[in-house]
Amino acid sequence: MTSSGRISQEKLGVFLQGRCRFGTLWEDQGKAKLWVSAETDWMQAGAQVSGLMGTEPLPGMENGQPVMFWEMGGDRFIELMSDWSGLSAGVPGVSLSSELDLYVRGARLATAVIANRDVLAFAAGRGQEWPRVFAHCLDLADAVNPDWEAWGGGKGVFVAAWIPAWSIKQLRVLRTMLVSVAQRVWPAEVWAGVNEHREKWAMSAMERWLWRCVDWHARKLLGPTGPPESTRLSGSSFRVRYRGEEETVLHWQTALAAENMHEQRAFSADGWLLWRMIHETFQASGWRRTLLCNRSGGGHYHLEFDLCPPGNQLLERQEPGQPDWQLRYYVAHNVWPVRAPLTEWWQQPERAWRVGREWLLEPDSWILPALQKAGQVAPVIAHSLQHKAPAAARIEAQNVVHFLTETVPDLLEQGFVVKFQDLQSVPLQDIRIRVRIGKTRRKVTSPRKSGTGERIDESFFETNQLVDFDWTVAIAGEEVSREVFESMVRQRTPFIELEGTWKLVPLEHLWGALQPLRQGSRGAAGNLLALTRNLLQVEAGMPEGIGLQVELDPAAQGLRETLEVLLQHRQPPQLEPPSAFRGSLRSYQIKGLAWLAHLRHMGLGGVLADDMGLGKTVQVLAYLLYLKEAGLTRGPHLLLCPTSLLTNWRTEAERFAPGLKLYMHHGADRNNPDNSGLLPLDKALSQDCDLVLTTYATAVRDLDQLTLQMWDVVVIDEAQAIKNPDTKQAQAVLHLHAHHRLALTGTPVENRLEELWSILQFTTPGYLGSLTWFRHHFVESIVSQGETSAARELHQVLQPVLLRRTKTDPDIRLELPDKWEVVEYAGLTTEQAALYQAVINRLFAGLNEAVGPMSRRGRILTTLVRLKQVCDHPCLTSGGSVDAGRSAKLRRLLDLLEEVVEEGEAALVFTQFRGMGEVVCSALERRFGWRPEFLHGGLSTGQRARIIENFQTRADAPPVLVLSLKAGGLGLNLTRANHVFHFDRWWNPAVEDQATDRVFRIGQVKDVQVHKFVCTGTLEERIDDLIRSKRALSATVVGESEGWITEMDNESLRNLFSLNLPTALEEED
Amino acid sequence: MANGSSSKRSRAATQPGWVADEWADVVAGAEAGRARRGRQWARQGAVTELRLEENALRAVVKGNGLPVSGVEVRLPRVCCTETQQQTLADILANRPDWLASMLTNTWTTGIQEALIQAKISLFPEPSQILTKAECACGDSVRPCAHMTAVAYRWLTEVQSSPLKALEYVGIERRSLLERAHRCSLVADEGEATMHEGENGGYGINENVLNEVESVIEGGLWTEERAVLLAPAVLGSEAQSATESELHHTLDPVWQENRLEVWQKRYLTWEFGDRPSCRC
Repeated sequence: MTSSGRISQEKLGVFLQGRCRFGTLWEDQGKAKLWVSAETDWMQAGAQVSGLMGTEPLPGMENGQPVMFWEMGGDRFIELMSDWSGLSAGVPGVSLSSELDLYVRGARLATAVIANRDVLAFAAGRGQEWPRVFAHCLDLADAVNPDWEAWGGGKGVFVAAWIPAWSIKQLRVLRTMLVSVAQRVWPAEVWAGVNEHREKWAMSAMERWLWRCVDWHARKLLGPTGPPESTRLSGSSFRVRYRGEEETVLHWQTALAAENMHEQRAFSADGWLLWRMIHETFQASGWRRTLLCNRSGGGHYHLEFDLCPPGNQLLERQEPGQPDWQLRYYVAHNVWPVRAPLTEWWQQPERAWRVGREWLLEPDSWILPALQKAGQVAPVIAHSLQHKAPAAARIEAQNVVHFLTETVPDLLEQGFVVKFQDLQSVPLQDIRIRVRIGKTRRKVTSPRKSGTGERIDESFFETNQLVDFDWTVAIAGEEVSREVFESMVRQRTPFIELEGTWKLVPLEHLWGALQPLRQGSRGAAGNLLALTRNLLQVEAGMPEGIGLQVELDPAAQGLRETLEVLLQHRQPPQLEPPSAFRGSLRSYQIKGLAWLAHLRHMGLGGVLADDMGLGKTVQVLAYLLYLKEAGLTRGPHLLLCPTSLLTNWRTEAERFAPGLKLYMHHGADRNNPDNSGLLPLDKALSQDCDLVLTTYATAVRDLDQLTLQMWDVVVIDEAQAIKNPDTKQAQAVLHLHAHHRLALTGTPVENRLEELWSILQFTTPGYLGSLTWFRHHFVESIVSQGETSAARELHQVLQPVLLRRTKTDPDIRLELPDKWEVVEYAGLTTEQAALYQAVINRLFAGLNEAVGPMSRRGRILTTLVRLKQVCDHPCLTSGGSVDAGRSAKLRRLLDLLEEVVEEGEAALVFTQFRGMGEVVCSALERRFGWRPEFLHGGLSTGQRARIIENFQTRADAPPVLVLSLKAGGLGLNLTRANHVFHFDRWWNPAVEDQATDRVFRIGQVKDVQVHKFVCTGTLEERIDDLIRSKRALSATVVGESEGWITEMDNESLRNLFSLNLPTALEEED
Repeated sequence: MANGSSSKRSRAATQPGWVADEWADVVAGAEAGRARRGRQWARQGAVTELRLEENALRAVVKGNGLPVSGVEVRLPRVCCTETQQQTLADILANRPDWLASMLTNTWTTGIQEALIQAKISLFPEPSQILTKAECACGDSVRPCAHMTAVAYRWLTEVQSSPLKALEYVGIERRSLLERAHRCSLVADEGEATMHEGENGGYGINENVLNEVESVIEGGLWTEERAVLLAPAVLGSEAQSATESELHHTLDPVWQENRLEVWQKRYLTWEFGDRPSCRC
């Protein structure tokens, strides 16, 4: 203290020291002395001190040093110290010795006691010794039956005093602290009276100072005389119970209210009565030995446990792996923020320990039991108690979470304080899964048996090339290597230190998401395709917010663009549509084209799964043209489709891509060698044929032939044809050799997810793993859990290799007109062709005879009807079975209607022929099991109304309605349907439009799709072309009726009617 | 019974009844009637003024059929050696959990283990009772009923407090704890570094320790600040006696006009530091 005092002395000028001495008798008011060293230059500030004292100092000696001192009575000293306590900054130029300073603080505590009215009226016999009075006070409250005689009873003279009641905990602990300080800074001579143990006299001396201050202040506040005694008594809560008590009380009260003067504070009273009242007063006060005399800290300190993450521990005896955490023990004050680590206690030579300003005496008497109590809920603490000097417990990293979640709540419940950094979770946004792709190695490709498959000029990107990769997890910028992360998971230590604080990492989420990569990393280095799939799986499995970063080593920079396209679904660079393409492509179709080209660039097959009607055919044709124009073609292309679509393909190809040289590998004579012995296929191939069209059925039969060829692109249309991998068709298709494999389908999954696998097994073999794995990984969980993460994962995984746009996609929707037309091409069956030819022959045979104009006109019109009927169905002209097999057009209609029905949409089918309407109804009944209504002119108005009502309003009504063009053409509102099929043509677009408007009118919420059927190679096709080319012209050109046809000359008629057999004929398999 | 005693001692007892059993052995030789009477007296609270003296456990048995002044009994004490004390302290220093049990007055197998390791017996040999016990009753049969009573009484004391039991064998609580603490002393250097630089780990100002007191003298200490500025303390008049149901005390009635002046003069921390306080 003195050393620090000297510092102040130099800094602040006057160093004031002082002391108050009390006599042995408890009522002694004490004498005080203050002094400054005479050697210092005290004069300048001394005046100020003198002003405070009110007197000039006297010269004297203190501790053998010359001093200037002031002497004063105890009351004056209290006043001085109290004033000083009010000066929060002290007196300028004056600093106090620690000893004197403590008086100030005692006085301050006394004022707090007064301010809180935490005081007791007290009295004790005059002339009693202070230690006895104090001890008795402690006995008074503690003892059930205190010995009143020991208090010095009987009738006599007592001295009244206000003393602290110590019923407020905060004041009590401050008192204890001051006592503790007093033991250090007050010299023993302050209390010269009794030779007590140092720790006891310190308390005794401080208590006495506090008593004096409390009494002095209380009297200041009670007034010099106080109100008349009688009023005061009645006004108080005092109840008189004994004779003489009132008198005693009055005397006592007077003495209590007396000014701070010695004489008036004494009064005569009956000792027993007085003692009894005081005893009762003490009962409710804080006067308890346990509260006032406990210097161990047990009552007002507690144990605190700090959970400290590893890192700032300097102990280096850590095992490899996650370092241990530490639970450090502290002793902390209940009221003020002071604490000390228990390690310090174990360094104290004696059983006394300074915590803050307070010395705790024998604190182990409560610390050890408290630790033991904590150990009952915290095994780590219990364990630490089995070793010498426990000050901390070690918690293995993998147990930290358990400790936090299980043990800490128990400890808190037991009243212990546990401090730990709030282990906040790392925000998911701050987490990145980082995959670093290293060097790539080109896989050695085994040459195909055809030998034509060598990679030449095209910069084929090989998705089957092997890549090395590694992954890390970046958490808020902190890179966690795979090894460390794996050990975090293994040891269940989900935390990481970030800028000095520890955070929880959502390990479980991440680990689940990383599963695909871990599988990949275990086996042989995967190829890029597998890696892509894995990355997409990871992405699908990642909780919202976590990012996936793919980084490429310099050696793998070439993969950047590819990966970006694959992973981020970024559209590949746009392509200019091939100039040879006839017609215009919508922008989504151009995107589709670019996508196909990009897939090729990456060596990936793909599935184009756009909705029906979005133009898959057109996109493929554009793609093939593009290849040709770009000089990328490496051989002929092969297209497989169902027989019913062959004609359509050919027609569309001729229409949109006339630059492609087609060869239809189809028909009975396809394998008949020509004169030079060449097979037609070989001949076509030798003549630079671009595209070979064939059917699945033919492909199965001629597989040997087809597998001899290394195809450039193999396209399979209606790819659900190979949905069952065990079928001959599927097997056959897999045997074809191709640079690029494409599958087209409007319904990638008809019934089972395995169908998808089968299709992808053709386009990108192995991408969806083995069938077993696919079933296990996707099918089972999707089927059992519905739309869950597995479904999302599959969706994600398919992104790069499957392109599906639907009519309802916002982007597509914008591009599509509300109503758009598709011409559906169909061929003729042999029977139809024969009948068709016969009808024409009959006409021209007749026309060549000289006939009148009316007769000519009639013949032509009749022929027109006949021809149309033949194209519709042979039974209309020649009777017989209504089987769909006899009409290619009907089969096509049924296929299309199937798609409509599967989509949950509804359709109208218009025909001019009532007979055809019946045929369609029967065919639908056979195909779907339900028979649609047929609305025709033969029905009554009521019947028609019922049919329309049913179709529009009843959900269970068949989704198809067949109408005769005349009956259904006007006035009906059939907006339930959004597909309109014109099964046969009315050569007047206006009539067709009117019929179409049955559905395309107010109330229609879907886009309307109009399908017009055309039999290729027949007059239907020719008239369709005609209408198309003249559509812009007014109705006068193409009149209301079909009459204009009859005005044609014979040659024109012949051209119009003639059957172009090669294009018309459709071969049955 | 005598044969049984040695076997019991060597047995690692897990029951707190172990102490009782051992003590039962001490008076096992008592004649059945005297033992019964003794137990009865002990239960009835006839054993008074029980205290440890230099060489004996002394008590006065008072009760029906006994002299009014009671019968003074002295049972011999067991004295353990300095080495035993030190060994025990050392053991307990290494097992703070055992020491904690002692401080919470709980007998555990750990304590028993410690005593066995320190080779301390808490119990007099039955033969000692026979030879050294004194009783004022004059009964020629030993142990007499009074001795049995005191033994039983002491047994209940010992059962509830291991430290009491140790006191009986001459190991004072304070000296034991001091020895144990000295044995636990940790060398300063090694552990001190461990806590270096971790001051105020959680925003707690442990620097309070290092305040240069004279520099901030007059100003409030952290502790004072915590108490004097806490609203819970000042203004907690509900806690004071004025509001209580006490009807037999004198309560201070401060003069309001004086109080105001006084507050401004002395409660300056309140008026200075917190301008908006109650007035």
